[in-house]
Amino acid sequence: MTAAAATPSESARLAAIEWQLCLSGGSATDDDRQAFDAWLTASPLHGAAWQHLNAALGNALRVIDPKLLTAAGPLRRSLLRPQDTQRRRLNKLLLASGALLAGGAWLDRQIPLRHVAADYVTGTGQRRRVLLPDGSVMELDARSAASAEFAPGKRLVRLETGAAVFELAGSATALAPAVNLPLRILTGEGEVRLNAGRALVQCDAGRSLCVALAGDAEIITRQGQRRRLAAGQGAWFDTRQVDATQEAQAHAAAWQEGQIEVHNEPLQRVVDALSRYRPGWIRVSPAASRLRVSGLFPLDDTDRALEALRHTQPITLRRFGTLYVMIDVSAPQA
Amino acid sequence: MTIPLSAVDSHLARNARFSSIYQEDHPWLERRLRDGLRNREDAQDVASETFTQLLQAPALHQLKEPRAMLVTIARRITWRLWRRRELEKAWLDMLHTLPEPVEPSAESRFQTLRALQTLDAILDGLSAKARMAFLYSQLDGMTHVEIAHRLKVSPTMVRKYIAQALLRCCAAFDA
Repeated sequence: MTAAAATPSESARLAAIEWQLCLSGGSATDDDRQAFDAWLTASPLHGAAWQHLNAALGNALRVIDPKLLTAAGPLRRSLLRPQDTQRRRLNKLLLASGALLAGGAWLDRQIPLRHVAADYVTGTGQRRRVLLPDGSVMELDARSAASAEFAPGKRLVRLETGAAVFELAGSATALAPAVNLPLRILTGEGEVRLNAGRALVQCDAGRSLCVALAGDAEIITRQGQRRRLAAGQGAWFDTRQVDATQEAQAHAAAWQEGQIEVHNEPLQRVVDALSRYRPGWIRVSPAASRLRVSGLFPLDDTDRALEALRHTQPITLRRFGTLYVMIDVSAPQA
Repeated sequence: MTIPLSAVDSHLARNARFSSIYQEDHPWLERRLRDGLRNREDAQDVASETFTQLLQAPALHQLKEPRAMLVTIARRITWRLWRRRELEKAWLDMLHTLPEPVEPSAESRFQTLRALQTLDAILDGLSAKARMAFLYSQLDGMTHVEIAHRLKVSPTMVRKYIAQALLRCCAAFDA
């Protein structure tokens, strides 16, 4: 592979995308074009990233004769047409006689066809409710992934990344022969067991959070330490141990309502949550990431959330195009 | 060099599991596909491709509900098949509207279809407006302001849409 075709660094790629947007947007000035030339020649990495982006665009578009892709033609229509009708037909296919799948998971109308098997994945800014085979409901936060393993004697969800709220079915149903088993939710650090009620489980780098929202939940770390949480309580855990139990943690599930609520927590927590809902990057300087924040911020409108942060915190926001925002502490007033 | 016994065991377990699933569920899957697709050849193709992909599943010997897995894989394959045909048909229709209709060579058919599927996969993850914005910009050379006007959104939004599509282009190219 030549250097130009190698995958560029994330920052060079985003910069190349910004330039592509600037230059093809129709309002680029001579100054912009000069700045672009300067960027392009400033580093061989920039040139490589620019070439890579254009190769990717070519790969997607240039093979097809543009005459065939005119705006009113059938080919363009076919590419743009919402594919829901076909998806519905597809979902009905093989489900017709019904007897087959004990799993209610398969009833979920939006099985992401891109992912094999029982994987549930949400993208940036998406939340998703999934009916599990035992009738319980799993709601995934944005940028989360989980897979379910249900069988006689087995009632298991692996939360691979992100966060989810689990709501157990109220009573035993035909779909839930294993209902006297607890629902086990596995994370990289251990597992959470639920017998009834509702709980949030969240994965972070090297640690996990469990918050009991209604009813009890039990944490068991990989190394076997256990902790029982009552409704409202939450605790972080790693593979070894469970941290101190904290009271009144139900707000951790506010993302279900499209919000993030924090009480005196590091700014980085808020930014991590916003990042799940925003394409591109938010960078936080180390000094700013240590600021403590309290408040309620909208997730579905991340621009507004960032503005709210800027108004309430001693920070500056610098935007570079639409894709990245840098947060730093403001210079102290003289 | 010796191969660890555990590796041999798990290999044997996989093979045994695959054979038993194949024997028990292949006729079942093909029958259901025949009913659903109303086409014997397609049903055979989809069924055999499904088992080929099942063979690559990582934890095959631990698979508890093979039929659920088979259905998921078969659906995905069917989806690709339908979509490929639909795009091919639209492309051929388009060829026939040209002033001098051309009969594409096998080579060009293959390349165009592959390119269309790539483009389709990129667009598939985007909202309807983002798809339109991207194609207006890249194929019709419209400015962000013109696209914004056409789609009744702000130019900032158009920029966001196109940025999403460009990110997906890069991801598709890297894959």
